[in-house]
Amino acid sequence: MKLDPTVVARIQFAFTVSFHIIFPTISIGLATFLAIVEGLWLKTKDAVYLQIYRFWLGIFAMSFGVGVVTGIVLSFEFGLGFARFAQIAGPAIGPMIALEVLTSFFLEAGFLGIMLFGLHRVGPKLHFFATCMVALGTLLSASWILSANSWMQTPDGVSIQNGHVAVTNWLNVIVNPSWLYRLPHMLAAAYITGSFFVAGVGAWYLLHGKHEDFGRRTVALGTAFATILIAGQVFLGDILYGTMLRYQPSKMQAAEGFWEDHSQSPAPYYWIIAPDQAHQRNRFAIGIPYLGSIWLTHSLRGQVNGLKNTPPDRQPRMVMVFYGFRIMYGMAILMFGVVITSLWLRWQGRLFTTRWFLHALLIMTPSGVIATLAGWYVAETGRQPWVIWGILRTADAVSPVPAGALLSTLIAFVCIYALFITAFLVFTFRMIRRGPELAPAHAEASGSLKNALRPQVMNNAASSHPALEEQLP
Amino acid sequence: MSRTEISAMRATGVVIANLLGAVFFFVIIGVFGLSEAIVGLLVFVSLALLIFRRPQTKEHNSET
Amino acid sequence: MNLPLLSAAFAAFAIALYVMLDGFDLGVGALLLIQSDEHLRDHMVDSITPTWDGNETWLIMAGVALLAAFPIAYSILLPAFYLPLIVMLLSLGLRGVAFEFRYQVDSHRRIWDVAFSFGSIMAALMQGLIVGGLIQGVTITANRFSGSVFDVFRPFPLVTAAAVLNGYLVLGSGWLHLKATGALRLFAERMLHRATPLFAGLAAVSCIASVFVQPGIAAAWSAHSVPLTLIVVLFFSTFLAVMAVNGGHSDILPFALALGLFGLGMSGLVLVVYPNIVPFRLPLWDAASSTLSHVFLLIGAAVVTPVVLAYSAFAYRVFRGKTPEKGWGV
Repeated sequence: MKLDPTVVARIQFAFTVSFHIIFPTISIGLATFLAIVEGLWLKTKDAVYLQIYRFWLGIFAMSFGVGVVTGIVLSFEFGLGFARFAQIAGPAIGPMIALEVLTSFFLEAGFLGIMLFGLHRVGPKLHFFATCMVALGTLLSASWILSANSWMQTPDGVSIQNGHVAVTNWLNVIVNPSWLYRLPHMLAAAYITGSFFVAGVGAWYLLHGKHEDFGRRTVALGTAFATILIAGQVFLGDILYGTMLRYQPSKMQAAEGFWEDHSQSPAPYYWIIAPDQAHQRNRFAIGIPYLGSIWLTHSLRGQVNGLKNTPPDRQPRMVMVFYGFRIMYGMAILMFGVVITSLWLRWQGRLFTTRWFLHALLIMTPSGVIATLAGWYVAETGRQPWVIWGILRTADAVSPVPAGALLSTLIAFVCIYALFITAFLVFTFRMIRRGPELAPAHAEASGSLKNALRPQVMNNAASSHPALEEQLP
Repeated sequence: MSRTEISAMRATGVVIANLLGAVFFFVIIGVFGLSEAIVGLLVFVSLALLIFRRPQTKEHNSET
Repeated sequence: MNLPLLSAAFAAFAIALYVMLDGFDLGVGALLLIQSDEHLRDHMVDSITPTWDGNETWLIMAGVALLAAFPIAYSILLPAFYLPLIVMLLSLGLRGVAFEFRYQVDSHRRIWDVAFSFGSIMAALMQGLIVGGLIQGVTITANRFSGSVFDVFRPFPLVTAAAVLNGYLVLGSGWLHLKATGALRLFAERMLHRATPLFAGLAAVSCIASVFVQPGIAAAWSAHSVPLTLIVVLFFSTFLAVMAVNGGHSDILPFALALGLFGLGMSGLVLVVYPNIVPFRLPLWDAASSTLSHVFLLIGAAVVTPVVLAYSAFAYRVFRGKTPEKGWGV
């Protein structure tokens, strides 16, 4: 059997990047959540906030760790699997990713140690600053990498001179046509992910009658954030849709499941299709009548453009783009439904006591991850056959590495990453079952910033601090 | 109020909440236009913020 | 202004920082394998836990600087070292998650420590392999890699792999000499005593062998005979100095001198490789991006790097002194 290096390289990259995105999505959401919670603790001195902080810090640390190591892989994988892409795109996305490393990776790494291990070594305000810096780092990181990916989707600011990309205008490279729409969308996705994660775990405690203060507070916070965020997100999503319709029409054509140049009028909204790309038609399609026209053309009878508007050699695979979009959008609708329900129950004062709703929150715990992954599948498979839209095709971008090497390393990735995610899940569940620790009566740290920097205090603090002594068995 | 009355009220409330939710959804995703969507979003957020202030029961509710 | 040269200097700076900082992290990780006392192992990991992430980030910085400034070199070198790089990345991944996950278990910590150690050792070996492979030379045709992914698995790179691993053991032991007390400090002294001569020996062997493996090295020796001889002499003297101050009054001197060994080694490599970015094959100007890419990278680097160094130094300061016996207590 002859393996096509392009296919193996693509599967490998798809696997590593899909795996990776799960973790920064969780980390970005949790980092900001932690900053908010620590700020609330400092302001209100309410011990439950500290309890929430310490509990979620542990899960955040693991998620961050897996995100970092799987991210390092990606920064090299451009060159490993797609050397030609690296060579072409390097001048444009290389400096951007370099700035990502400089302004966000180092920021996160520099302050993460203090955030995780410095609660008793630095003053509370410095520690809060460290938490905020880590959260800022995750936000900056998302911004830069979204700009790089957006440049691949809607390139600008470069000229092509004998096969080489030369940057002509950095502002246009970074603030390319799709970046400012995709960035808030991704950030909201991360924050929504964090919100449902937090709310779901809180719901679990309430259902089991354990750690009730903790459970109530986190369900309240999680659902509140989720409510505001999902409303904003569907708003942003529609605007982004309009933008992508302009710049990548084939992607949105594939996303809706219509083939004909102009769909029927009124157009249904398809939920299940069996596309036959070779024959440019659907074997069957099930949808809700009229809803296609309403949602996609904002009118009762508007027609939708089908994928045949794009020449077949430039068409993405409809099955991937369509189902990616439906899963993402379906999740969004579910999330919206859940927050409406939460508002209704809050109105009645029954948010914490309605068991079927708590079960729903529990089921929705991973909803953000699923929606984000699905959305990225739309973004990336919908851009095909281009890796840089209109400039470089994916098939032309592969490294001169034999398919066998690509396959064996793919298998190695799958095995090792399986270990990572298993350990992550096992330990997360263990942490959840163990539950949040009771916050110590006075969990202040060793003193002011000035005090913290004196060597005697540092070495004595660890062994003689009252808060620590309370914890030691 | 009898239990049936409460349940009937609650059922009506559920239907209204669902309808309102659907209306907000359609407005916010821009079916009626961009400015309408922005207004809809702002109204939704304001309503939500108001509702967040309502006190919640702490004891386990036997009805549920 | 010679922008590609400045970018190359920045990339070299990033690599140098990576090697010196993550070198001791990987060294400590490797040493875990031969440390049978669990408490001491905990202590060893504690000494590197608060700062390892920032250290590792310099590796990404170096790789990405290469992508940004020398995309042609990046597109040649990465496929050329495809296998060792993937193994290195997976090993660094294993080491990285082992940091987080080992704290979650009490009874099976040994398993994660083995994973930690294995990851550290493999990463070090792969980095050494790549150094050897770079010196040995990669096959290119019309600015594309045209050799085999297995070219790097030859005798010379295997020697350099062992050399780099031993070098990291020296750095790791030096770090423990600085950070540890009691039994662990004695362990560090013993390891330093064994690893340093081994490292010096392997470095010498690599140096001599390189002349036979790569004609460009002989040419470099004749072109830069004075500075290279000076480096060799300084390397040897520093090696002797490390042996002398080991276990002595100063906590930090062995570590500082070990860093000096690496600094000297890297200077030698730079002298030998310059002006090529793909050693002995492609001059850096032929592999470079156009001007604006360098400008962006360099301005960003010039503005942000001092800030990064400042708060990284601050982070080290917060956790300075001996690593507390009871760990970080959170």
